[in-house]
Amino acid sequence: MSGQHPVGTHATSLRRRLLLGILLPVLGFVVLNTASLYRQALQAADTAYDRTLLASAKSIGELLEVVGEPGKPRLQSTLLYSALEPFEADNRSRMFYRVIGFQGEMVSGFADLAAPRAEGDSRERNVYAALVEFYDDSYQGEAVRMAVLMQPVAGLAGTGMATIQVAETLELRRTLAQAVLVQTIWQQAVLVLLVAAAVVWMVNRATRPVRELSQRMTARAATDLSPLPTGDAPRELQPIVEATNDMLGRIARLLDHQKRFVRDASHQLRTPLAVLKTQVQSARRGDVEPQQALAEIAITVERATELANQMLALAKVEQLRQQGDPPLVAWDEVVRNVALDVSALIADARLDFELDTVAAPVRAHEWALRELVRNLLHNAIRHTPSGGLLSLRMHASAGKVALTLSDSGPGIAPEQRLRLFQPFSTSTPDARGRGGSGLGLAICHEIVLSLGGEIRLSNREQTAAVLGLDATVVLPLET
Amino acid sequence: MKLLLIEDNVAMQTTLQRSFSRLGMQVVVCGDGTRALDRWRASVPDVVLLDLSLPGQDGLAVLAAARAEGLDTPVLIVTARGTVGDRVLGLNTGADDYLAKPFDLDELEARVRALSRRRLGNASSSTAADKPMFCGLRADPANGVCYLQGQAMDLSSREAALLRALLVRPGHATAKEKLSGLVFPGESDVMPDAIEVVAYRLRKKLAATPARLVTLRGLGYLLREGD
Repeated sequence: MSGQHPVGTHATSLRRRLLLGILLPVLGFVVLNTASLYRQALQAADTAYDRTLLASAKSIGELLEVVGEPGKPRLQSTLLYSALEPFEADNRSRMFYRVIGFQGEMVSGFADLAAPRAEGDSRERNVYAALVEFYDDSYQGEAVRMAVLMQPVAGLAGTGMATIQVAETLELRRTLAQAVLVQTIWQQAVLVLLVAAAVVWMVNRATRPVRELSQRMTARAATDLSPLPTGDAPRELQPIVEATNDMLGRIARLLDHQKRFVRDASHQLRTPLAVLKTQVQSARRGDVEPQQALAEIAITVERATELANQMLALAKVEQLRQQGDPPLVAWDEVVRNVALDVSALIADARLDFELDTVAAPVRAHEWALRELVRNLLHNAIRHTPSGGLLSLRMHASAGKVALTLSDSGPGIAPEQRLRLFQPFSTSTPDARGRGGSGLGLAICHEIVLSLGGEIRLSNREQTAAVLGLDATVVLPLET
Repeated sequence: MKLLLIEDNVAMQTTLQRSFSRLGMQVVVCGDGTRALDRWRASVPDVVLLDLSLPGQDGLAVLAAARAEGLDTPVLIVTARGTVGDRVLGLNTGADDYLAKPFDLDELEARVRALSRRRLGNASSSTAADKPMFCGLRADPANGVCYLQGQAMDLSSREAALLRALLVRPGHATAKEKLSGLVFPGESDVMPDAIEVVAYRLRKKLAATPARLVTLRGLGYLLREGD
């Protein structure tokens, strides 16, 4: 994460996710594995030491003999404590024993050693013969490992089952367990470190293209809209790079469009200014009467004003679009009001006028609707010859309402059709020799788009002769 | 009458000062937002003409400060800011009227006069005699009689009502619904086409005059000068 890119608290780091997602399970597995290994090692050690314990019990059993009268055998031991010395593996652990006779009597050894546990308790079974039991116990407050051996002893007086108990203190086993534990932990730690190093390296390597891409984009000049190179990005990143390039392309076209608009607009504004300058200079030289010169100047100023207003209107459409959530407006009312506003122009042009509206509630800013109708009406009036026909008809159906303005003007030329709604593309002299601002249709188009409707201009023809132009705007009807 | 003109564009200032002076107004000018309030206090104007884009202090800020101070002079805002919401903003801040640049000088003068009339409590609106004639036609608001070249015309009361309504704004159409209400006052069950009959008769009676009664079908009627 570089400092220039503040990452929201909700943003997740791909790298961190990968690292946690891989390393945490690995770590968990290693911990479980360590525990399991330790347990296995301890069991193996127990088994080994239990064998020694059994051997010592057996060697004690070999020293037992049966005495007494026949039918009344008695166990006798000649055992010395030193007999166990060979089995005490080192000086750290101590061994204790006890021999119990046929009738459960104490025969030899440490009398205070706990008696063998009853069958069915929780002593653990060993791999050795069923006659041997091993379990953990305590002797004189010390934890011991106990082996209990049932040893058949035969003699002249008869046979019997001797019980031999051998207990061993746990120092040695504990030492061994510790050694095993330490070694296991070391091994696992090294394993974890190796895995972690490999994972970190791999994740960093895998996410490097993402970081490089973002660095490359930050490092770009602010005005650089050229596409990003697609070749060296991994396949997973290609869609992002392509989408970015697509967006860059669109921004570049938009910017280009705006640049062209500014260039065209300044040119269009300079034209009336140039005319004005000439008119003023001519008037000052006394070429014309002052009143006539001023009247001509007034017309030029009017045109420049209209142009500036239209340019502002175009900007305002965009502003309204961003405001969103337009109110409910009766489009038919707007149409009637605008028609009333321009009625003087209609009357001046001696147009045969007809208006037919239907109730048309639409979602729009009233200003936008007025501007739309005003521009269309102005166009129609402007291009219809004196005494011509001008009709406005509204028609509602299937959740939509259409307004059609029909005039009896010259219609649109085929070469105009392509750039009809582009700024400054349709400025042609009208029926009375005056040019429009060239922005009217662009404004209409923008407004209709912002209202989610459509606009169509088509010539009304009859046997190859153009009768006039039909301008139709369709807007979604609010119900 | 005293007008305070707060406007920083020198050309505009000069022209407006000249025009309003010729109308007999006393014009005080100020081209700086920071000094505007002092001028306002000192000059005690009847109407303030306020441009919004001013050096030093924004016009709306000047207006807000003046209103906060209790200066209740009527204010007409004149600005080139043609964007959405400016009008609302201006009127909410305490402006009495609003005119977007570029404007017609005639309209500006009319609005300044209207504000000053309101200020002076003098509601002497223009009388019928002030109204220019249209094609020799004139209506007397006192008795409702219509005159052609000074001669009272022979019109029915409905025809006269229609002509009077159309003479308010000759050249501009009036919606037929509105005309219907004026020609048939207080009658709720008027046929929608009834106005057409009246218009038909009036048209015939105007045939001898230069005025033409024009029908905009589906919209309304207007008077225009015939050819």
